[in-house]
Amino acid sequence: MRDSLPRFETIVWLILLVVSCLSWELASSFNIFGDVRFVASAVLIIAFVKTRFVLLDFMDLKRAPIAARVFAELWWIGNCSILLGFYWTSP
Amino acid sequence: MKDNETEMAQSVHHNSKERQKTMPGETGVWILIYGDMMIFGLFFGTYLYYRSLAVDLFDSAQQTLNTGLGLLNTILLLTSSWLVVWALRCAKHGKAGAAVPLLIAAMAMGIGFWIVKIIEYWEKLSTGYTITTNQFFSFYYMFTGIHLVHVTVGLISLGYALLLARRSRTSGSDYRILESIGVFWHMVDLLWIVLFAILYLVK
Repeated sequence: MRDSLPRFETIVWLILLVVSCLSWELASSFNIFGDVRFVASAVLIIAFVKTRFVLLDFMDLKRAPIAARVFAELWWIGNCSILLGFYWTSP
Repeated sequence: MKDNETEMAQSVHHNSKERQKTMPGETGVWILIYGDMMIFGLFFGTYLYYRSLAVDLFDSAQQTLNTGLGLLNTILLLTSSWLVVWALRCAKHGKAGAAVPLLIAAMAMGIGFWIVKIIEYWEKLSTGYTITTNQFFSFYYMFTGIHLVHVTVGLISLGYALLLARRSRTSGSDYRILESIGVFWHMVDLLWIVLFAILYLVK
């Protein structure tokens, strides 16, 4: 079993775990930072960057045809931009 | 001349086959996955739009959510996804027996997610926060509920993958089925990552 351990994906998994905990900690200490909007934006961007890792490394889209990969890249970049737009235009 | 054309046609055919081979799982599953991702993208946008119209209401309602449980669920799904990647690697190397305990562990993580979510729902409902309490809770129950349906479908699919691995059916078309189940399960993880951020963390 151990010789089939996906080493690169294991590193990605560990990074995702650490980043998830850091993002949670960052969001829990909103008051420490000046403008909560910057913290919220960082949390959103981190979440979508995490989805990129899942798409490319877990779902193995990095070896997929270009069209499939472009769709995935557009999905996370597009969604992240739209959500940030809605967030920053709110009063 | 004709030979060259035949050779080129064969090369194009070969290249296109190569490209198809590198797409994990069945094409139909990817249509479902990309469709789902688009729909959830609309959900995320709708939520942030309505939040922008009533920021105070959304922020105060969000305070009642248990972010620790949300983080725990994120860890459970990420770990489950990684275990599925590992199980597929074992299956690819012809070690169906080694994939079995990994798939069982992945399913246990998924069931763990289910239990944590039910605990969260029970916590909220017992303190009077229902789907009709306000707009925030309507979105919360609707989005997490639809996601939980996906988790359930994923768990049933992982059960089928486990059955295939137990019977050592992990090559050829069976491997493609395993890959399809794998990518669906990763999508469930991916959607939760964004749901956790927007529902629990973004203030």
